[in-house]
Amino acid sequence: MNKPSTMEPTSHEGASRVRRMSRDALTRLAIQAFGLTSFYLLICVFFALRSEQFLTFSNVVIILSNISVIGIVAIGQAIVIISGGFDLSVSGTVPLGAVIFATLINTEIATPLAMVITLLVGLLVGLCNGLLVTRAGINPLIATLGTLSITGGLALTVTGGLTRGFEYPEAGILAESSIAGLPNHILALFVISLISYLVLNYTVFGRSVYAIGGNREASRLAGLRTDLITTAVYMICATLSSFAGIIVASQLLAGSATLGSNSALTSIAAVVLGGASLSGGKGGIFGTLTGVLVLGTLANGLALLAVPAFYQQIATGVVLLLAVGFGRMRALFGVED
Amino acid sequence: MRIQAAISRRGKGTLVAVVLLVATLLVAACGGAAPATTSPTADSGQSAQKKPFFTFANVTLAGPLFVSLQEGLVKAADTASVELKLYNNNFDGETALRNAQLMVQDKPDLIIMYNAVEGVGASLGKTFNDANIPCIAVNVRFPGCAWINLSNKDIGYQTGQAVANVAKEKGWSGENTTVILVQNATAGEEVNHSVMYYYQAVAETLPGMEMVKAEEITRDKTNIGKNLIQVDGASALEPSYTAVKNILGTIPAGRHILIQTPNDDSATGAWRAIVEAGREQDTLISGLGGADGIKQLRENPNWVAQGDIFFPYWGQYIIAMALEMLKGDVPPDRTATPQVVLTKATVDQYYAPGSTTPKLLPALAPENGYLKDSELLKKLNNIEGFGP
Amino acid sequence: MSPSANVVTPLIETVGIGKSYGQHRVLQNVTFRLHPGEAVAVIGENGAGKSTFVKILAGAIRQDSGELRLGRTPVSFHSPRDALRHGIAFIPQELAYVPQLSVAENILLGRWPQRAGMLTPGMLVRRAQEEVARFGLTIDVVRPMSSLKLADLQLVEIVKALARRAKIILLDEPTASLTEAESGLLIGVLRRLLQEGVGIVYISHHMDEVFRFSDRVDVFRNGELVASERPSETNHNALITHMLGQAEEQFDPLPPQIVTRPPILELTGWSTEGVSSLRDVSLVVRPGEIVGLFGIRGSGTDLIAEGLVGRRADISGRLAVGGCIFGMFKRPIEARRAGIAYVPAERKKDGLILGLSIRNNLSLLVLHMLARSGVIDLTDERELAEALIARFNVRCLSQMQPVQQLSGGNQQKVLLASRLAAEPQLLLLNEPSRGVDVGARLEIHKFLRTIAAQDRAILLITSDIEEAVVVSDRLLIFRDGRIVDELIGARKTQGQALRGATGASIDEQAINDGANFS
Repeated sequence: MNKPSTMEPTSHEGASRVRRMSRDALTRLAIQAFGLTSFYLLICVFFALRSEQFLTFSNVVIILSNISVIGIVAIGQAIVIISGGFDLSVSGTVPLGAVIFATLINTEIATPLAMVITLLVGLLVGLCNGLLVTRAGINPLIATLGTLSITGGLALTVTGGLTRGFEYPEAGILAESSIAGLPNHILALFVISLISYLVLNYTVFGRSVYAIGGNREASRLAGLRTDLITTAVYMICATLSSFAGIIVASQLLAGSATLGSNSALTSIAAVVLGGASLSGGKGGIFGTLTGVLVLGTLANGLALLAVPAFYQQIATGVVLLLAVGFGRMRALFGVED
Repeated sequence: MRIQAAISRRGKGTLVAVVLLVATLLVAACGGAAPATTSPTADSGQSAQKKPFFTFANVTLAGPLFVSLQEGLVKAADTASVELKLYNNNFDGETALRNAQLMVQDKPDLIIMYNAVEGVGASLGKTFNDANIPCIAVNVRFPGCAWINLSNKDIGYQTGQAVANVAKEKGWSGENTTVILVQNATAGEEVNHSVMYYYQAVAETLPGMEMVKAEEITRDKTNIGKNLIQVDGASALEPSYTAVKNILGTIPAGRHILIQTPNDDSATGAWRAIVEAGREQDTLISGLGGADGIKQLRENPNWVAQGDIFFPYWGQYIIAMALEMLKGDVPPDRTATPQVVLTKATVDQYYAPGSTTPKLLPALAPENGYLKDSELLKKLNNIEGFGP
Repeated sequence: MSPSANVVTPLIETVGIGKSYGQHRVLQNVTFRLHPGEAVAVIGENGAGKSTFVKILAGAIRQDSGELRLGRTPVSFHSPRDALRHGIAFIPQELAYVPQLSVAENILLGRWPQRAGMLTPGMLVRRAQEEVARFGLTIDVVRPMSSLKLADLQLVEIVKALARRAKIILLDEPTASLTEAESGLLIGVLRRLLQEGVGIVYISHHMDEVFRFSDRVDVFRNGELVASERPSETNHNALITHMLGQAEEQFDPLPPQIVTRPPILELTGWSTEGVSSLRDVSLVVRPGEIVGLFGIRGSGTDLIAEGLVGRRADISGRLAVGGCIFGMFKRPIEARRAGIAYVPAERKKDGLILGLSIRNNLSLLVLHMLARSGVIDLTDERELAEALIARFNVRCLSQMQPVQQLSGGNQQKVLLASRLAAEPQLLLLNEPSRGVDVGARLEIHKFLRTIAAQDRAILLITSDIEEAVVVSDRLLIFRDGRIVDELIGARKTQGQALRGATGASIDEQAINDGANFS
């Protein structure tokens, strides 16, 4: 490709204006940074001051292992939301993954094979979602609500409503620890986060996801394959969800149709908390993970402080709203659009 | 004018809607009233050979216990030649109420309702009473219906005694032991009796435990006294696992732990958290419910008691009770279901080794003694001290 | 106090008002008056502060310093609603109406006549009709708002404002998206209002309109009111000098080149039926030339654009790009692969990804060229963006600034640059200077010239007659789906173009008076 050459330098006056405005941009950036991450640190400081237990290594591992399932779902959800979509069906795909994995394990097939089959089922669910949204042109909210019902029902059917315990506990390999005392599923969360981050920020696919979410029609006119990318996005989300199902089943050494059945709301909350816009085009992995961490840390900290169950709910709601408020603070300082 | 047309069309639309609504109500009212005179229930008296017809709404089918309950009930109904129609309340109050209305329309001889959502009970009872159909409330009581249930209080208390005795033998005491109660904060108080009375019994049996009366262990409390931590596990696998995992850190390593939960799913989740933290040697746990717990009681050295409520067999007691009610018997305030707290020593009395199917159900108690003449129970012949 | 007692009390005035965002001062020390029956045009480059100024008058923004007076009394508005109560109506560029409701319901929005809580539709329609009739308009008030053309929507918005008896009307680029004829109609209505003593302030980028309509032109530059002139006492160039702070860069159209090289684009016999139709349209565009298509709305020029980018597979006819014959494109990606880059008319809706950065917008069409096995080379991307930003003189804080923060002119430059990054054979532009300030408009025209000089073919679809005449080498005039004239050289004048497009013999004065010929 030819590098286009510079035709004329920017005017002198323009340059000084640019300099003046960039100082302004710096202050704005500082305010933006004072968003969710610093709010998260505030929460951590608060809990650390109130509970000696909070900052211990074992408790950090507990927090991380509590968020790995919802974290992986939220990463999938984030990709869908950035692309301008929505996936409610994760609430069905996670339990479906869990019960299918538990059922397969009890048929004595090799654990890796069971995992692959479970992931393929997830992939299939995602393909359905994608085709419903792109080919049939159904609103993502309705389309995934439909598949949510179907997958949730399938999960119940597979187990007959029973909790299916692992007859071979060694199949719960994802819940075992291998490196540095960290359970494998936490490592899986790290790896998945890293890969998703790289894909979203450094690949043509990732960039296309942002573009489609930002403006579908403009992307189409610019020659992006919007339908293909949309379908892929739902497939990624559902596959990650079924993987999350495998993890939760491995943690509990049992599969049940109720495992992770509130994933949709929690993951959407985390993604939006992390700065994504429900209208698409905005958001990222780092923000999403921070959102998940806020939720997980909050639950853990409140439990350590022995806050009664009912008040925990109230406190969670209040903190969530505060966190969103922190995110909005930058709007107060924003420059005129 | 198009807008006028549009608005007046809107007006007409409303009118049509109102007319339709009124018409529907009228038809419904007539439909409700007219068949009442010609309904099958009315002539049920004259045809003695006619099968009794019951309807049953299960609380949910998502959970092993509830599925087994339904299977037992269907089997018992078959044995007693009772016609049975099934509903699912889906753990949801509105669904329960809607089902209640449908069940009334079925005009059965008796309605069996298992609803776990507090608050809607009164409207269920009223629905059945208004239709003059006798009813049985399963597990969770509500006004207007006869009630059949286990005594969570007795189970909790006896489990507490059993576990505390094991702990005492091991030399544990109030000085070095913490009790974790995994309650279900949104379930009725009755359900949580299983953990509340557990603690009271432990405190009475194990030396050095701080005494807390069951009534004081309310659902909005967490740390009570120096020996008791209460968390919410929602009677489910994953929430119990997470809840116990989160607070284990606050219990110093080496300290002994006793855990009680309202059901086996909850206990399994809690136990996973204990194992993951590597603290199983310092923990004694007990279950409440079914087959999983029996297996654990036999295999897991630290699973030392199992409240057995023979849930899959409730059906035969419910059907027996219903048939007695049709005969004119008035059941007591609570009709008891079979229950017993098993320990490693007594488990073989009720279960053949390796089996999780009971070979015998415990003998009738005072609260269900009136079932001793039941044809159905005689026919089934699986209760201690029973025979044809 | 002014000693002159016989000066008419102004409707509204500002005394030394200013506004800053953080360190950035967007408005300073503006003193301004509006008298009854006066029409003031506010002009300036984008970012000069004119929108901020008008929004302060409208109560949407509050000033940091200075005073706002209504009549002679100092006021401060809490909200646009508050300003409206004081008789100030603001009609923004992006209209706010309820598309599902009827015109009548919109006009009287929030004040529907009712009796005992029930709507009285007859009264609603009657009152709306009275309002519409006051301005000599003929809009069917029972139609749903969504069925109206843009110009009519704008008129309805004005009627809505006036139905609340506004004494001051503020308009932000009211004619930006209107055809010449529609603007004429709007201006006719505004003139009638001036006679009733209403004061009008409007932001415009349209020089001709400014001269035609306003009593006074206020020029903003860098947040200051730098000049206030009577149109009769100034001229085009003087105003542009005020706006730019320097003399206008004269844009001299190159003499038409005689091109005999094989065409890059060749359309043969394009036809389609519909509300706007095409009837056997054939045209060619050769390398190095700019071909303009001009026609009034519905003349079919839009269909050519839609067909060429794969949005109208129903058009019949033949299509060749760079010598290769194609079937009618079914999807935009086919057009892109054939080497056509499209700058759509609605840059926010169809062109840019507003939330993404300038850099990411610039690279969107060439991602596959910047990437190796799917992974984007960010260094190459940055360099590409740097080069394009410099080449197209995009004014921005950094490459990473979201496009939505840029002014319309700079957004358009980014859009144009992103299309050229793909090195297309044919550049297809639809209304490239709509809603763009004068400075950027001149720049864009200059870029087109440069691009054409690099042996690319440019097809320019525009309803801006000045642009059509000045920029094109050859100008094709469309009427009712046919090419009715081809203007080259001395025949390429605005009058000739209009005559062809309307099919009527009208002189320029008639247009200026806002005759409705659509």
